[in-house]
Amino acid sequence: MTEGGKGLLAAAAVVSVVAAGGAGVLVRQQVEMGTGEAPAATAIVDGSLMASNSDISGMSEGEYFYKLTQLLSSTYVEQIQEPQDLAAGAVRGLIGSLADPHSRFYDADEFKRLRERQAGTYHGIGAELQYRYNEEQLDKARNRDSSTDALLLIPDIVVAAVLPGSPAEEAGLEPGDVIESIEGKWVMNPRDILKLRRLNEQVEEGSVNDEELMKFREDFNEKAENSLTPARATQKLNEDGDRISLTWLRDGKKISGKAARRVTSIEALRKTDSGLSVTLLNGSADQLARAVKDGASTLDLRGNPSGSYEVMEQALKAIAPSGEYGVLRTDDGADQGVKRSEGSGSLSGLQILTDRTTQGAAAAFALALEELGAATVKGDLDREPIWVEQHALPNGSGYTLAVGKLVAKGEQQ
Amino acid sequence: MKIVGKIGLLIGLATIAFASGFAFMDLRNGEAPSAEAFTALVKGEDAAPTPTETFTDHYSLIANRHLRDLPDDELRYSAMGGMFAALGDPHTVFLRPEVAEEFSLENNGDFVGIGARLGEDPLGALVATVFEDAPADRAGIRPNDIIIAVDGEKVAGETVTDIVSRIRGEEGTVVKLTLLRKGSADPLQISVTRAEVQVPSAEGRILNDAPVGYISVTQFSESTTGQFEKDLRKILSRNPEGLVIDMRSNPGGLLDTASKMLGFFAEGKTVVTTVGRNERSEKYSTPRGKSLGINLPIAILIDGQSASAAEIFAGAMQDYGLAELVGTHSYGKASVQNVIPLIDKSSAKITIAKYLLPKGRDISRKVDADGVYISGGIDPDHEVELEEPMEAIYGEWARDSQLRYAADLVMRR
Repeated sequence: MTEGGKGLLAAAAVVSVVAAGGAGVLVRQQVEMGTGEAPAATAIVDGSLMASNSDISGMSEGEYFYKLTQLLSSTYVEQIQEPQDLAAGAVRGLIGSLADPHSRFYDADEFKRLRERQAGTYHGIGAELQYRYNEEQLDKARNRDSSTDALLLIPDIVVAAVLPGSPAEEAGLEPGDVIESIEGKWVMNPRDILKLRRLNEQVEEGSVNDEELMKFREDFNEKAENSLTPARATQKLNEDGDRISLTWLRDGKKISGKAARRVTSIEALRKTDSGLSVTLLNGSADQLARAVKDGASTLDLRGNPSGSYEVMEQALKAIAPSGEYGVLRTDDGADQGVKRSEGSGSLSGLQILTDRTTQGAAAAFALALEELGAATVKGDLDREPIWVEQHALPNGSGYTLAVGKLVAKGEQQ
Repeated sequence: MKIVGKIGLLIGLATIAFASGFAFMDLRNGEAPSAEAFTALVKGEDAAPTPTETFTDHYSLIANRHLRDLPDDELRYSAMGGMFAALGDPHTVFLRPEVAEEFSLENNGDFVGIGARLGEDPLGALVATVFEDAPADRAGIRPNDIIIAVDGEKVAGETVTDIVSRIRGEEGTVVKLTLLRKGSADPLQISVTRAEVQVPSAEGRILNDAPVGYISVTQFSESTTGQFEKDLRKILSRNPEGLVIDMRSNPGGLLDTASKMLGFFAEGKTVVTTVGRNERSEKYSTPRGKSLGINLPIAILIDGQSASAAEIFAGAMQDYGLAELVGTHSYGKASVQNVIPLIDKSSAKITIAKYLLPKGRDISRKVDADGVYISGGIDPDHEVELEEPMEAIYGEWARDSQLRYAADLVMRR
C-alpha cells in the first residue's frame, strides 16, 4: 500500500466538529479518532439551509465568493487580517486559469516594480525579461487536457530588451538570450526534462544504453536539488543587491558573466544617431508632442518589448491625427472594439524605425500612426500585437489582461 | 467542551473516516446579500469597495474582456482556489468537484496497494521503500527502482498522488508495472497482485554496529503504541548506551497514540495545547503511571516528511529536555482540518484548530501563493543531511548518515 508515497498533499486530518455560529454551516459532528472510538453522528440543522432545493447555477460568483469568505471568517483557525487579500487571491486564481502568457498577476511588490519600470526606473540588472512558454502545453492546459505535463509548462526566461547604461548591457547580455543559471543555481526549464524523457524513450527503443540515462537522471536530480524557479530567478535579477554571476544561452552556446544589480534609469526620449529613440514611459506623451513640434522626423521604437497601452493612447492623442486605426479581435475571431485615436493633429511624413524587439504597445503605436497616414514604418515588427490592459486591486496587487489582437480595420481573417 | 478534548489528530488516509451522509452547506443563505446591501447603504458611494465588490468587478472584467472564452465553472473554481491559497496555509484548500471526489474516495480505504512507498521522479515515481513480505517485495520490486509505466501507460510528468491512484485497486487484482533499475539493460516488466498490507508501524532492535537501541516508527496508528512498547522493552533489557527513535518519513496519525508513547518517557505532561477559532485553548496531556523509567540519552531522527503526530512527539520530547533532534527540519503540520462539502460537489478543507507544542511553539507550515515553503516545521538540534539521498536505506549503518550521527551522539552523551 503506497500510503507514505502519497505525500503530505493528500494527508489530511479530518475532523468534523460542531460548528455553531452565524455562518449557519450545516455539518455533521464526528468524534475524532483520538481515542479510537467510532464516530457518533449528530446533525445540527438550520432549517433554511437544507441543500436539496438549491441550485448552484442560480448563484452568482459574487454570492459564492461572499459565502466562502463568511465560511472562512467563521471557521478558519486564524483571524483573517486582510479580507481584500482574499479577493486578490481569487483574481490571482482567475488570471492563472487563463494560461495566457500576456495575462499576469503581480503581488503588491511586483506591481510596484512594474509601475516603476513603466516610469523608467529599473532595479537589478536592468533588462526587460519575458517568460516564454511551450505553446503546445499552454494550449493543452487551457483545454484542461489531462495529458498536460506540469513540468513542461515551466517557461524560459528570455531577455527581451537590454536598457542602455544597465549592468545587463555591461555584462554583454543581448535580446534573445535565455537565462540558464544564477550564482551557480540552475534556473528550472523544460529542456533538460525533455531530454531526460527522450533518453528514456531511446532506452526503450534500445538505441541508448541504460547507464547513460541513469547518469543523466542523477545529474538532473542533483541540479534540481539546487535550482531556482523562474519566478524566484526573475526576482533575483530584478532586485538591487550584490554583483551576481550568470550563465545564459545564445544560439545553443553557453555564455557566462557577472552583472551588478543597481538602479538603471532611462529617459522616454533619447537622441541617437538614428533619430529619436522613444520608450513609452509615463509622461512621455507631452515630451513626444514637443519633440514632434520641434521637428523630430524619425522615431526609433526598437528595443520596446513592453509598455503600457494607456500611455500609448495618450501618445496618439498628443501627436496623431484623429481616426480609427484598428480593431481588437478575440481568439475566436470576434471583434471586441474599434480603436480610435483621440488626437487632432495633422502629423505626416514621420519615419518610424522598428524591428522584432518592437512589441506590444510600441508596435501598436507604430501601426496606428501608419494606419492614420502619419508615418511610414521601416523594419520588421509584430503586426498583430496583443492589446494588454492593466488593472490595480485595492490591496496593492494588480494584473495585466490580454484583451485581443490589434488588427487593421477591414482586415478579414 | 468534552468534544474538543477528544479531538485527535488524524493524518494518514487509511485512518480517515467519513460518517455517512456528510452535511452540505447551503450557500444560498438568504441573510447575507441584504447584510452586504445594508453595509453598502451605510458606507456611501465613495467608500472603499468590499472584497466581494472587488471580486465581482474584476471577475466580470476578466470574463468579459479576455481574448479567450473560458467556461464559467472553470473560472469560478480557479478563483475560489486562488482565494483559499491567499491564506498561505497549504492545508486550507478549495477542492473543485473532481478533486473533492477523488479525495473522498481515497479516504474510504476500499482500495489496497502493493506495499511500497513512492517518491517523486522526473521519469515517473521512485520506489523509496518496499515493505517486507508485501506484494511488491514478493514480486521482486526493490528500493530505487523507478516506475515509468503502469498497465502499459507512461506516467512521466504525473504527480505521485496520481501514480499511486493508478497502482491502487481492488484486492486480488493485478497491476503491471514497468520499472527502470540500475544495472539492468532493459526496463523490467513486473506484475503485482494487490493485497491488504499490514505495515508494522514500530520496529526496534539493537544496532549491529553500536550498542544503541534503534526504533523506527512509520506512523501513529492504533496498534503502534503496543508495538512500540514491546520493542522498547526488548531494547531496554539489553542495556544499550542510548536510544535512537526514527521518525523520518512518518506522516503522523493519531494524536492519542503519540501521547501514549510519550507517556513511556514522561508522565502527566502537556503534549499539545489546542487553539481553535473561538480562542479557547485545551491542553492535552500524557497519561500517568506508564513511565518506563528510561534514563538514556535519546536522539530522534526527523526529516521534511515527518509531520503531524511525528512532529508533536519529537517536539514534545525536545521541549521536555529528554531528546535531541537530528536530521532536517520537519514538515510543519500540527493542525486539524474540517472538510465541508459544498452545494456544487466541491469542498472546502479548512484548518480549524492548531496544536501548539508544550512550550507554546506554533510549527504550522506557511507557503506563498505558489505553494513554495516560507516557514514552518521543527528545526533539528543537529542539522544532518543524508549523504546519498538516492542510495540511502534507513536503518542500514553503511547507507544512513543521519543514523550514524544520531548513534554517535547518544553514545557521547
